[in-house]
Amino acid sequence: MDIMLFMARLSRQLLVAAALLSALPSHAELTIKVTRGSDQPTVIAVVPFVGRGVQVDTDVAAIVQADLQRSGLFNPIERAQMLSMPAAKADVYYRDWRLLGADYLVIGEFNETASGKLQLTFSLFSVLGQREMWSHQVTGSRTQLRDMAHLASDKIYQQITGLRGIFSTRVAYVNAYMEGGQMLYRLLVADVDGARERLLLESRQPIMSPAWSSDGKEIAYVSFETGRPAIFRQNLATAARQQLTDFAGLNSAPAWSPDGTKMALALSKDGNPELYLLDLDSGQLDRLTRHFAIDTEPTWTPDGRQLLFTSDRGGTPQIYRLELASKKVQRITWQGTYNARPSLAPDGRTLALIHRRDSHYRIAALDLVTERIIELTDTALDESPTVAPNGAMLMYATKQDDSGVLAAVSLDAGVKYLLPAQRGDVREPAWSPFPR
Amino acid sequence: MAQPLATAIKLRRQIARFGDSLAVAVLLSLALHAGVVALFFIHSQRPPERTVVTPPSIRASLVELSPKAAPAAPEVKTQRRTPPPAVRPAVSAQVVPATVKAAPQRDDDRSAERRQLLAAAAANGAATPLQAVEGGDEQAASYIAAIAALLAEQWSRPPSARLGMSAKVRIITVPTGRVVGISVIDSSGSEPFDRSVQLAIERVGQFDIIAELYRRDPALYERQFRQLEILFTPEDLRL
Repeated sequence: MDIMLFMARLSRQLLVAAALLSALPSHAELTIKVTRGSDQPTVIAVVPFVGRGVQVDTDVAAIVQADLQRSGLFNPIERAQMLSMPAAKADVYYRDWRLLGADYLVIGEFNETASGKLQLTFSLFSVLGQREMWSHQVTGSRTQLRDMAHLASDKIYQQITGLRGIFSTRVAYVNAYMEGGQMLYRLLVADVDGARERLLLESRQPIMSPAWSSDGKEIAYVSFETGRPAIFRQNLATAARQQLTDFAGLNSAPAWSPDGTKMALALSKDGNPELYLLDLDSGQLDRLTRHFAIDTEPTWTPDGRQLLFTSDRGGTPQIYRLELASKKVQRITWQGTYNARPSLAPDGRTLALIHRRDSHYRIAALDLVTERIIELTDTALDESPTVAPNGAMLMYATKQDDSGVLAAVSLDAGVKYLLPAQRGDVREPAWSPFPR
Repeated sequence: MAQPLATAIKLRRQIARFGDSLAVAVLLSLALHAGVVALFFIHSQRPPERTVVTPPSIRASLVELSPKAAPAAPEVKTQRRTPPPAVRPAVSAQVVPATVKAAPQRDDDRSAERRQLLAAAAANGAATPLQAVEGGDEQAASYIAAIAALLAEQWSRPPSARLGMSAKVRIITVPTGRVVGISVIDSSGSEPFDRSVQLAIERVGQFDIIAELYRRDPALYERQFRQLEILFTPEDLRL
């Protein structure tokens, strides 16, 4: 019993000693703080997808690669540089990709489902972590390969960046050119990479200010087809259209409310351009501003409670905020002699606008909280900014070789790309909401 | 005869009385010694890890490191690239004394190769621009700044990163500066953010600056740099 006691005491003592010993190295651990980053594009390799028992003619991996590159956040590895092109996880040699400096690797394969559809299974690998991170499947018919590619890009983008991808979204714009000695105006919708353009409306009279409904199913626009400006709404799937306004004077700048029930507009029926709110169900019109200056270009805050708009009531065009409940107006831009054409990012905080400083017009992003302005473009020819639904990019109209083209710029990554040029001018882009 | 016997009995009784506490003391001291020896043992187990670094992965990290303007990087890079046989005669002849001075106790290893490595590394260390101040804390501070700069250079924040977000990770290094363990001890709550942090460390992969620190002050390395806590919190973002 003495011995038992002795052993018990001994083991207790040993435990204390062990605890003391193990505590020794940890006391001096120090913390290093990293507060900056370089934000280099992520290097990603998208290996050509293979067909397992199916022939797929579209190079889907190439579309994914181009999508990711256009976002500005990725720097894809050229196919010619790839040391191997694995089609399955077992064929992935991380060393090959480390040598190329890749951070991530994407592989994928097509299979045919029982119902005859194509199924793309793709996987994302961490090269440095040497592991498969994630795998996903998209299914579609042979005519939907481009949709499948954009969907895959969306998913990969979201996995890595934490933001929803915008590759499946679309853009509406106006194209105008001379034909037979007369101007021809066309309202078009295309993928954000410019592919698969679709005609919505063609007119010998001007078409302006396309605006998406919040569900992405309709577009409102101004058309002069009746001889004077009028606002129409048009369903994309059915092409059914409805004329919403036919007032004397200016009918312009439609902006759909986030809940889709109302539309903010600028009308000059009472003298000079003022903001109005149109209830789309009842047709009831509510006047919002009352000022001898011009009030126009309304845009909604995501909560649907406020409008941001352009007004020259202060002497120069500036952006103002209107609270719908109280109709109280407050000026929000104070830098520069010209700020107009507001387009608010979905975070409700980043405001894209046309900004003039030192007699140069630029597209800029204003942080509504810090009031800091970042200039995103540097030519005087840029107009009509429209922010992507994930807030990471914006599109605008610019000039190239004397004709209007569309360009996109990332808000943070400092990357620009031009959409394919068209005959004549392309102007007034409107970025669609996320597809539902 | 009775006298010595009585003494012996008394002694035995005393031993019996104090027996257990004495045994405790002896055992405790034994345990402590064993612990210290174990520390040495643990330490001397590390060198193989150091030398085991396979050529392919070294080359891979070089590709990533090449655009850097990191202090000490270029020299060490070329050295690591050079096959050991070529380096061995020249460098060991010149710099072995310096190595012995820098790490007299740790160099108990019979591995000649390790000695060569250290010698080669010390030769490079001498040429680095980093001016470490004498005295522990200031010296540590300069290394900390250099490590933070290396990480900042490799850190690409996802566009979902915002001011005020932070993630804390613990990394474990070996004396070559190689990172052998990364664990997130305080998540930002955003998986892409945490992953970007991990990727930044993986992109660095090998902190030559830590290897240099080890050569100059192994004790400081053991005390503060074998395990490091790193807090990533962006302060230069737009939002």
